[in-house]
Order: sequence, then C-alpha cells, then structure tokens
Amino acid sequence: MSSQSDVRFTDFKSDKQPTWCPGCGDFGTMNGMMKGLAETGNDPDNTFVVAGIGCSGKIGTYMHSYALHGVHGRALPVGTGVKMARPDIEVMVAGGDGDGYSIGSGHFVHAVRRNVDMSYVVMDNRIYGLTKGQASPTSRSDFETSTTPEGPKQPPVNPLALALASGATFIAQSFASDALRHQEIIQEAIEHDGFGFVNVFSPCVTFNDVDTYDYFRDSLVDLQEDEDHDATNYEDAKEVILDADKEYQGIMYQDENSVPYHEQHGVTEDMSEIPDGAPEDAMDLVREFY
Amino acid sequence: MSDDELIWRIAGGSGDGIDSTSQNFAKALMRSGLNVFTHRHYPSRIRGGHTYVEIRAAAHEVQSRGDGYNFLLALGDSFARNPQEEAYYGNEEIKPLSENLDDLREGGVIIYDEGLVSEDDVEALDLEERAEENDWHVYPLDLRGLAKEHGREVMRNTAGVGATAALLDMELEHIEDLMEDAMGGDVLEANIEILHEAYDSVNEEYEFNHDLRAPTGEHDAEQALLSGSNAIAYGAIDAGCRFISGYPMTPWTDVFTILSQNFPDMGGISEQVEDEIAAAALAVGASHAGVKAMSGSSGGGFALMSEPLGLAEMTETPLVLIEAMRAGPSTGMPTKPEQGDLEHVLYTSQGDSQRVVFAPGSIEEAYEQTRLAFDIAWDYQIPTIIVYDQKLSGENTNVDVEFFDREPSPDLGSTLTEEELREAAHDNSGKFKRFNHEDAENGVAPRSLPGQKDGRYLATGNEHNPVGHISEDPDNRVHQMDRRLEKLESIRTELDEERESTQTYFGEDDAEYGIITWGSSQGAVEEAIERLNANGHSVKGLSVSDMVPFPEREVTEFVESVDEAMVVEMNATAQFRGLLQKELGRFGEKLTSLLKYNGNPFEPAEIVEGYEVNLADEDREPTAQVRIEPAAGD
Repeated sequence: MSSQSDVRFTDFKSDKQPTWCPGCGDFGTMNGMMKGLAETGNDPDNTFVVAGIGCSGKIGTYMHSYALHGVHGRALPVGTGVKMARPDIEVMVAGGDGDGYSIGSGHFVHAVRRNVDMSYVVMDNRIYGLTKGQASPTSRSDFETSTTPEGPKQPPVNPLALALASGATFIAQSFASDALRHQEIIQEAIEHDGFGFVNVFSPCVTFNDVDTYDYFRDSLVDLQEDEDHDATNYEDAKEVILDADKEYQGIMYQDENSVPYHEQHGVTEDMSEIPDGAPEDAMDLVREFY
Repeated sequence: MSDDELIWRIAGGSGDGIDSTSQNFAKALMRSGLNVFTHRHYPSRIRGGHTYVEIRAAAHEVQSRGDGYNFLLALGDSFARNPQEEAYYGNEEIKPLSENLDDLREGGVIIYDEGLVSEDDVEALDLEERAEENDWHVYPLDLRGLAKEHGREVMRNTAGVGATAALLDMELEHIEDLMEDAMGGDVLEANIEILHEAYDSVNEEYEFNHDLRAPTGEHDAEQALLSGSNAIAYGAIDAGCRFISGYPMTPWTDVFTILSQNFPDMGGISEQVEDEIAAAALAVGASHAGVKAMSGSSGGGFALMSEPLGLAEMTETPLVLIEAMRAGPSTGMPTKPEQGDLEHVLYTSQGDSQRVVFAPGSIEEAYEQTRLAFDIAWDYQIPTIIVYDQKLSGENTNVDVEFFDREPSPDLGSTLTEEELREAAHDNSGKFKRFNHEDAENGVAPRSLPGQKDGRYLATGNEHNPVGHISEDPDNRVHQMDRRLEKLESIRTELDEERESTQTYFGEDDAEYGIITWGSSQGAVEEAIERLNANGHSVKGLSVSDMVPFPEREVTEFVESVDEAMVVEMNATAQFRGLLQKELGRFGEKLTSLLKYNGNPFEPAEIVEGYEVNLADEDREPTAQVRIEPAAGD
C-alpha cells in the first residue's frame, strides 16, 4: 500500500464521465468516497468497490479501482466474499436505497451482524430513479409515484434503526451536498474496525420533489454540534435514530469494542496462499473412515 | 440375485441411532474383507417416523442396493411411544417389522424386539403364516430387556448387532474395535457387555434353522467407507478449494458440513449465510478476489442461486456449485432421491447459459469430477456445476484409500502475474483489458486479481467492452458472446483429447442392445447389464457423466453401435434423454426411456424387467413402479 502522500483522490477517478443527471446527489457522494479512500491512505490497486444496480450502481464504472457491478440487491454478499477471502484489500460497497433496504434488505441485516471490516455507503434518494420514479422503501407514505398513485401508504424503512437492531457497530448518516462533513464521515466508516455503515442523503433532482437539497439543507441537524450526543453510548444512539421528527447528520453509533469478522475467525492471511503446514491432502481425512 | 451376499436391513425410529449403528456394522463387514454398499431410507423429521438402512455386503463388487434383502433387524420404534408412560400411539411400534416384510427375500432372517412390540400386534401381521410361505426364519428377542439389564434401553441397537453377529456366524472382533473407537468409559463397557450377552444368548437359546451366513472375503488394499458427499468434499480439498458459503438444505448439507469441519484447520473459511443468493454471491466475491471458492444447495436453494450464477457467467468468475437433487417440484420429497433437476441446472438464470455441468455416477467419479470441475472452472473462468442426488450423497461404499493419493492442485488457472500485467493491453486511461477478445485463447482472456498493479478493471453483469465498461455496441456484443461460448467447445476438445473419459462403459463392445444412464443410477444399471448378459441377452451400457459440454462423439458412437437403446433415469419427464436428443438431433427411433420417480432409486431387477418388456419385447406390463416412454421422433 502506498503512503498517504502519493495517492490523490483523482487516482480513484475513471475517465468515464458519469451519466447521472446534472445536479444528482451521487456526484457529491462519490467525491466523498474517493477523497475518503485517498485520505485514509488507500491505493486504488488495493481497493475493491462493489456496486449494486440502479443509478448508484454505476459508481463502479466511474471509479478507477478494482470494481464489480453486480446484481440488484446483492452487492453486500459479493463484497463480503471479497473481504473474507482477502482481508488485505480495502472493500467499499455502494448501493442505493432500493438495493440495500428493499431487494437486498435480508443481506443488509446479516452483513451488519457479520461485522466484516468494510464500509457500506448507501445513496439514499428515497426514490427509484433509473426506472423513472417509483416509490422506494424510504419514500414517505404519502409520496405519489407512477406505481403508487396515492402514495405507498406504509411507513418508510428506518435503515439506521434496522442496522441498530441487527447489531451494528458503526452507524452514520451524511448529506452529499455537505462535502466536507460527508467526506469526514466516510473516512470514519473506512477506519472503523468492522462494518462501517453510512446512509447518505443523495437527492434525486429529477423524480423526487419532496426530499430535495433544500429540504435536507433546512432540516438537517449535525450531531457534531450536539455536545450531549455520545456516539459510543447505545442509549444516545437509540434516541437520535428513533427520533422521527428530525433528520440527523453525523455518527449515530460506534461500538468501541467492535471485533471484525476476520479477527473473530482468526483469518489474518491473504487466503489466496495456502498456509504452510496446513493439511492439503484429502488422503489423511479418508483414512479416518476405516 | 446372488446367494453369496448379505443384505442386512436395520429398521427403527428416526433418531434411534440407526445411522451410527449401521455405519459401524458396515465398517465391521468392510474390515472383515467384504465390499459393502449402504442405502439410507429416512423421513424428513428429527425423531420418530419409519427409517431404515440397508447394508449390502459381498466378496464381489457391490455398486448398488440389491433387489430386496435377506436379513431384517426390526428394532421397534421407541419414539412412537409416549415417553411419560408405556402407552402406544396406535400400532406405530410394530412398523419397523410390519413395513419391511414385503421386500424380504425367501429364506430371509428376521430379528424383532420382543421387548417393544406386543404379541397382539405380531399376531395381527400373520407373521407365522407368512414366514412359512416364504421360508423366513424368525427370531424374537427381548433386545430392550437385555439392554436395560446391562446398561440403558437405548443400547438395544447393540443387542441387535450382537444377535445379528451370532446368527450370521460372525466374529465380534471388528465390531468391538469400532465401538472402542467411538465411545469410552461406562458407555463402552455397558455396550460391550450387551454385545456379548446378546451374542451368547442367541447361540445358547436357539438352534439355527437358516442357511444365511456372513460371506467371507479379503481386500488387497487399505479401505475406507465413504459417501458421495465425502468424495465431493475431498475432491474440493485436493483441488485447493478453501472457501465455502452455504445455507443448510437436505441433502446438500452433508458436503457443507464436511467442509465446514475441515476448512478452519486448513486456513480456509466456511460461512453459513442468510440464504442461497448470498451463499453463491459470497463465493463469487471470494473467487473474484483470488481464492478457490464454492457453494451449493439442493433444488429449491439452487433456484435462488440463478442470479449469482448468471453473474459468474457474465463476469467470467471461476466458481464451483454443487446441486444435490431431491424429489421435486417445490419442496417435493425432501429426503427422497430423484434426477429431476437436470434441466434446472442446465438452464436456470436468464440469457444463453454458459456453464459446465458434470454428473458423477459413483463415489470415485464424484471425487474425480469435483477436481475436474475446479480445474475447468479456473482454467476457463466459467462456473461449473456438479449435479448429483440424495442417493449418491447418502450411500456409503468402500473405496481403496490409495485412490486418494494425489497431488493437490491449488493453482488459480489463467491468472496473470504483475510482470505479465505490465505488458498486457490497457486502454488510454490505464484500465486493463481483462475481457480482451483479440488475444483470447480458447475463448479465455486471462484475468488479474485485486491488489495487483496494472490490473484494475470493472467486472459487470452488463454486457461490457474489453475493460469491463458497459457496452451495447453490436459488434462488441457478438465478439464477447462468441468468445465466452467458444470456451465450451474448447473444454469439450480438452476433455476428449487430453483427459481420460469420465463416461463409463459396461458389457461387450459388440452387444446388440444398449442401456444408457447418467448420474447415480449407474451402479444399478451396471448390475442389471451383468444379469441380462448372464441370462443370454446381448447388452452393453453407457453411463454419461458430462452433461455440458455434451460428449457428442462418445454418445453418438454408442447409439450408432446398437440396434436400440433404453435410457434409464430417475425422473418423470426423461430430462436426460431430452438433452441427448437436443444435442445429437437424431436417434428418436432407437431410444425408449425407463423412468422411475416414486422416491426410491432403481433396483437392478427393475431395470432387467424394463429391458425385457421394452427391448426383448416380452408381452407384459412391468410389475415395478416405473414408466416406459418412447422417445420423441419415435
């Protein structure tokens, strides 16, 4: 891995120009990811980005690291496999709210509790953008869309609460437009020893006229400015995560005693090398069946 | 039907220890120098329900269960009883005796547990009358009482084994040795006492009036008793696989369990995950990162793997998936074997399928083809599926230990070094042309691994250009699709020209008629052909183990060389015959299917009968629960 000084965030940038709509929150989200990776001393050769499907899924194309753009909802299990096999690689999984909290919600719960040492960045725009504007699991219950003419009529998923209930060791939320804070929060997630989960408000300028830049700018409360909030305190975390009246930015919860998967399981080696002294041959095992 | 064989059936309640008792008895027979084959019949519940295990033992080779059996040890189903008091639930307890009588051969021996079944129940069976008719020799023994007296009630299995040994004139040495390996302390002491007590009391109390005795034999090499699941797991280990992710499902769980127990000691990882989508997706991730990885399931779970399987095809990620078939559709019959998922593994997932499928027919082939699956998957960057079934998974047979004396093959196939990557083609932005159709050999464009310099690229499930960027350019599409499909032709060429064929042949080359089968029906077909030829018929057999790419040359030569052929498989819609006709595009007039799908594997006699009705034109309907169906185009 290169030292912090030789890697610039532009090294993570591909020559492909994003096809996101002008003004899309995903631009800001991605910039923060690239800066966060560079700032934490990661080299693009040593970084693996796994993306899902949807507007957010295209991020693998726009970043110049190793990357896999997979199947809708399955980014987390693919990223989990990469990181389990190669603890030496920095793995960042990116996806959208549909990818993570609807079709992939089962994987989300289990990725959280497995606590593999990687970061998970969800570009939450509360809408399905690429399929042209249908309700997402985080859409408001009265949000009218082509497939929900009178609104979904069901409460949105609270992904932070879902993470907390699943045993998360790091829960944060950021806003794509607050570049500096977003980058700082991403960095914390990368550096966390375990599963670093960041829900990013990443507005869709084309299909969502409710959860807009203005809405978030006006309503966002930064936990950094709340002296009473202690992110290492579970009760404090619960309070802000379950507070339905406000939108928060910052680190809600961080378990200081987090033990990531590979330490729990004693995996420290690059698994592509079979360690010396390990039995490699089935014949010894077969003999036991005499 | 062979007189010099023992087919011992132990019947009782599921959870009564039938499995462990029979496993040890099979090993004792193997250690005495016999070849053994075990067949397991059990319900999908943890305790209770009727279950049995059959052990066939002979000096000659045994590759299938026999026709019927000749020794019944009916233990009595203890879980049918209310544990609070000794009240019966109906007449459940008699079932291990009552439900097993139909398949017992003439001259057979019966031990039943007098201590667990009532005289009235036995009387209701007309056992005496039937015994007389069939020349059965019945030995009622109070196994339960004997076990209680010297140890605990559950040890009546041991009493049954002791009594079996006495009636078969076997020595107790091997049985005792195996008990010493498996237990210790008071439990061992009590069991040894019960074993001897039962053995001695049978010898003292009874004058034997049966002819059956344990056969004698000798092995000239070290043996081990293995199942198809063991063989698949060991094939994976020797191929250098060190990562498995899965979700439990019968019968796939066996392979998952064996590797979960062994991988941690080998620096490997086993992870039980939330569902089969995740299971296969984790394996794709691990493989992509440079580790030999696998996953697997049975039919229903494999359905969930369609997505990651397609992703592996499109991203050209090496992957081995195991599919352990059981009777379907849907939940079907979870503990019953069937070969009904062939089309499922061939075609599941959207688009043109680009995968290799192997179907081993024996324990040796299961090991051999699992290793081959890893070699092919990593050399050609293509998912490879091993499809087998509940039968091969659970059957145990003895194998020469020497068979497993092989060099492991952990190498990662067509992967470039950093030096090679520096020289490789890149685009203007420095992305590695990992999917470069221009320099591909046999359809394979070598890959880089994360962490390597000059190897960065995008892998995507979208159609993509050489650096992995999404592309809908028509020329690129055709180049990429053709290159991926070319691999299958190259693999066929390699299998035909450089590897030993995994197709298995039986009988004489110049035989007039043929029997074709695939997968786990192989053993029963082999035995049926021996019998048919011994009865003056002229039959040869072909058991096909490569499903994709299809062994066109070998199968064509076989079908051309016979007047007619019968295709034997364990499903209702002739899936393999369909594949054969699709691949070869002819021979409809020569082929007829013999199909069985009642949840039990073929017995050799059923195939013999099917042949006689079908190809030898005997004017009668088969008595077995099978179906004869002419091929399309007949």
